[in-house]
Amino acid sequence: MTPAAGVGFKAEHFREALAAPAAGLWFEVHAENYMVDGGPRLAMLEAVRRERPLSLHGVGMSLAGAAEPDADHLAALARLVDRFEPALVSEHLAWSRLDGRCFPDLLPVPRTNDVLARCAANIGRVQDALGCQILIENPTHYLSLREHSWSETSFLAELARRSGCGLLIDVNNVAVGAHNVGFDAAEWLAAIPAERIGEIHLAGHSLDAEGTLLIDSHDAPVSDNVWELYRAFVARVGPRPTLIERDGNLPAFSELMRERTRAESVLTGELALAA
Amino acid sequence: MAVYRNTVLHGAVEALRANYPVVEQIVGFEMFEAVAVDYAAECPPRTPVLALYGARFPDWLEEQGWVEDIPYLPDVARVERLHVESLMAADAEPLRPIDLPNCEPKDRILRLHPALRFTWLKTPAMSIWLGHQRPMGSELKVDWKAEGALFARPKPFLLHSPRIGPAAHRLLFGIGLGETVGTASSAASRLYPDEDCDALLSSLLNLGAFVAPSTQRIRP
Repeated sequence: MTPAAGVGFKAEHFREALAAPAAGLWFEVHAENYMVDGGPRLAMLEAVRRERPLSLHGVGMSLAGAAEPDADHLAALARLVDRFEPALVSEHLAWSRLDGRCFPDLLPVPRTNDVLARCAANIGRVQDALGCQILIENPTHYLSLREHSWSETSFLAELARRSGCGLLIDVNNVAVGAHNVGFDAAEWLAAIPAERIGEIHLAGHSLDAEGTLLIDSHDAPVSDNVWELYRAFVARVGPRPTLIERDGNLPAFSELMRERTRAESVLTGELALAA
Repeated sequence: MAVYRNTVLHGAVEALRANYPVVEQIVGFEMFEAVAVDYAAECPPRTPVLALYGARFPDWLEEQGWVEDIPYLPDVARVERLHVESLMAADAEPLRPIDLPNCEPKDRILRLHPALRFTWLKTPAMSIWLGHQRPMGSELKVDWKAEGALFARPKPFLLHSPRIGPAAHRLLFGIGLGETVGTASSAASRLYPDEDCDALLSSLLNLGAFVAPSTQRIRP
């Protein structure tokens, strides 16, 4: 996929998304929202896919969980990959399943040797089932776990090396985690190996009710400090497909496209330099 | 850990909100939030696919003491559930009226379309649901009696959602159990002699309620 900027697809934007003339535009959806038997959702996604490249972003594989990926869930993802032939497939470094119960969230992972081995094996199983490489997204942090024996950046790099997966770097997650847990976002981004990066996410965040924690809420425009981190990151690693993510307070499609144009200008600025 | 607990609940609450918008309109945003949190704690998601989350919600509502003040609420939730199930169900080519042969189709066995959903309700919950599909502020006139709800979705973007009477409900129920068209319609005619079951059947065909059985041939 050419390293252009894309936006998260929402049914509310269906007509405008189909009609958008922007060169290089692509769309990303949460895979789980399309794991249904039929109906308007899938029909809309087919129409979008006929016009544009698609990225499938999974939230429920629980790759860091104690168990292997759920066979039914993996089969459902494989059916979507076969049907929609996405340009990119990604998942999270998180767990969301325990004792048959599912947590619709991405829970944190202690970065130990055991967890690293387990995640690498699970990613391998997913890639084998899908017949393609997947990208793994760095999580948001709200608290420091004591059990870490790896730094996050070296853990991700080693995970990619062992499993052959690529990395999806969510710059907003880095900024949110840096604020909440207390590390340097720019240093974090500088430590990620450029050759592993297959996609970048940009999103907005908000302050929690107590005014202390930043929440990766996807309900606001991308913040200025995230744009600044993104610009420096792209300058170092080169242009990568970049997604504007927005889930809450959904604005007009044109609003998302304005943010997308801003990301595109960062990417093409880099392409112009490289030429 | 509170932030994780909140976002975990948030996912389930938002999924429930997406699937029960009329229940939310009836009880209001804050009440719905509180009710959804209770429901999510008792019936947490069993799969990461939340598109169909909340299957037990209508029955669960029935068990809540406060619902006595809004006795039609569980039925409205049942209607919303059928609506969501119809939207997410498999697609199939519906049987068209012209697909039926000229001879009387009385001994034909029809299959219900995979996206067809219907039920019988002891309250006018389908009328209430239909009223909420119109622009806000329009007046809701409801006859307080039992009625049936039907959702037919013959194409991905085409959804029919009529009220149905007891004869149409009996017809669909029988056909769904494997009765021939003839058996189902004579039973419906016996029970509801004022109803024109041939006309009902052709309306149901026009709504795309059936698919042709793939192997079943018309008996000579």
